[in-house]
Amino acid sequence: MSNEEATESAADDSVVIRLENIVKKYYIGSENELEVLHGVSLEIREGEMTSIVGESGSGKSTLMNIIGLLDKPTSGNYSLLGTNVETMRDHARSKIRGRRIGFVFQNYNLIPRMSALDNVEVPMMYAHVPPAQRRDRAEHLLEMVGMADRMTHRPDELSGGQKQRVAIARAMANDPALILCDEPTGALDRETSEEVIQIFHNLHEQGKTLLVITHSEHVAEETSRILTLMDGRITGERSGAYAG
Amino acid sequence: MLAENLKLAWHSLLANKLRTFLTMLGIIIGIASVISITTIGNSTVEQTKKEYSQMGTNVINFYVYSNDMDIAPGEEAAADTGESSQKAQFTKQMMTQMVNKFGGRLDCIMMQIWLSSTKVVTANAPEDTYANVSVTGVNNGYFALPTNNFQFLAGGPFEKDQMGEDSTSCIVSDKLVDNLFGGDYEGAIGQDVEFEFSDQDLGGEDTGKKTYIYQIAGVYQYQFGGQDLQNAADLKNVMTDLYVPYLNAQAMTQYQDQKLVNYFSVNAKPGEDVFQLTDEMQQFLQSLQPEETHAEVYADNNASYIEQAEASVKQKNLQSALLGAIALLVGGIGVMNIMTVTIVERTREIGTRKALGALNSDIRWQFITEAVLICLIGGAIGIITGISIGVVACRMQMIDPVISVRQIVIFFLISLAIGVFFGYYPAAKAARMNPIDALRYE
Repeated sequence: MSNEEATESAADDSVVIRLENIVKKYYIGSENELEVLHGVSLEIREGEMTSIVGESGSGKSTLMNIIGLLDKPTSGNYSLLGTNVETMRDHARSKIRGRRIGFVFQNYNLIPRMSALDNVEVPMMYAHVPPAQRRDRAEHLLEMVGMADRMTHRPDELSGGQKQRVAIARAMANDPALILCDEPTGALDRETSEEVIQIFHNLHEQGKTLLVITHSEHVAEETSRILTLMDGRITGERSGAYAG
Repeated sequence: MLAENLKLAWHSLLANKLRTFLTMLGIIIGIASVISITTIGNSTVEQTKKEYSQMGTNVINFYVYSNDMDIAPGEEAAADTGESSQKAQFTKQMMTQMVNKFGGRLDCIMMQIWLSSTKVVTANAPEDTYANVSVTGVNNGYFALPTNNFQFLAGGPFEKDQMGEDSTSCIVSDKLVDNLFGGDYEGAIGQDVEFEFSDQDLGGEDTGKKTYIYQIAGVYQYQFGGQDLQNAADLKNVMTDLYVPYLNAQAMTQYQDQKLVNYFSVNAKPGEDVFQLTDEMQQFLQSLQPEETHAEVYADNNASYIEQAEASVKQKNLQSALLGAIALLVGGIGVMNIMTVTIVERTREIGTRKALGALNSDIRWQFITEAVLICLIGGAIGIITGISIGVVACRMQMIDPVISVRQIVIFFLISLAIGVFFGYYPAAKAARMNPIDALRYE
């Protein structure tokens, strides 16, 4: 990114994510070198509810890992809230990840031995939020996702839909700039999926920025903007059925 | 963060109680064995110290031996029959010089010669009226030694005119007076007592029994030791000491060695450095010995016995510490092993935590805390078990158990160190995990 562009995106406060020509290669230099992303560029603005839809093998997991700061691109620019993040050291990336990005995983990834409340507190703990404040916020978030009566239950005492609600509450813990959802309804039945999508709609209405990565056209239609990823390239963009 | 890590570690340990306990077992056994052995050792030293202190840590004993026999065996016969002046001894002149130089630093000087044991009677006493005695020649310093704890019930130590070679004064126990004079201690003073020795009893030729008649100059209170009662269940037969003046005993004895002073003890004044005084006096007394006697002066003190006991226990403690260290090493490896397994089992959790903002150091500390907690709990159980075993073992040996707080603190710190040392590698491995791989781990 040129200085000019950087200044421009920094000045444009509404841009949450800007990817420019992101390339990701695996096994670099070896015989079986594999390029998964071939120059992906996209921009996500504050308050948008976007989905990236693609078949398995299209590179969407790789793209999600890069956006979620879990992985680094081989080349290209990535700016999150106007800050160039792809060159940052791991330590700084971890801090940004914890405070600026909320993850919702397909298989929930709740910590088994901890209660729903404790699970929601984890990101706040790593962000050094004082314990009392943490507890208040976790309670508030669990109430918000309709889990007020199961706060002290451990994950093995919750249904799939309930686990995903806890995971959403956890993603909201540090009031992130972006909620990144990886196949959030992949493990849920249709009815529960709709409940979870409704929670996403509620969050969107509250002004949250959401990015849903999915292989399901049905889920994608529940967002206002759909980007199609095919063979490591964004091949199309259209509006979803959800007007927001 | 430490509180959170402790909470997380606690939950994780509770989730696998049996595994946690088995992991701790190595640490528990290691620490318990060392603590129990050292508790017994330290308690024994304290007991020894107490016993020697009761005998007086300020007592210094001096001996002189001739090295003649070692150097020239051919002269052995000559040395035995030779002039006594050529033999190793502390002469009167040497003793005077010693007193002049060191007298100010000494409480008293004790000399004694044991003669023989016999029966004491009174003139015209009925046949069953007697007292068993052990006749010993002593100087007045013997009675002055605080640790001898002499209590005179009547009379007192020898008067100046009672100390000579031909003195017939003696000091007897209250038990003797009970047997011979019906317990009238004051009335016994000045009374005659009789006992018999043959010269053979005193180390000479057998020339038949001789009767000795002595006058009681003092009556002391006899102190029972456990053994006397076992040896003489009948109180009447209890053997007590009858003291005659040192010079008198020296004249009486037929043993050539006893005719010379080759042994005496002193009691250093309180506050004296016993070790230094021992060295100084030993060197001084050695310097007084004429070369031709090839005499060597030896000295020892009770403080040195305590030191020896301490040194021997230190040695034992060192050995047990070595064994304990091996047990702890094995225990530590057990902790490392189980932490490695735990980390593999919790790979997804590690990935999730990293995705939620955990720094590598957060992950590292979380698992180090867990390893440390295992070791500290194991250490605490080991300390309690070790002390309990030590205390029981001491009680069985009738020793007062001594529990060392310093040792408890040290072992607590050792447990902490084992946790950090053996927990670090698996924790660092967890911290280095790639979050994407960790999240994908099935």
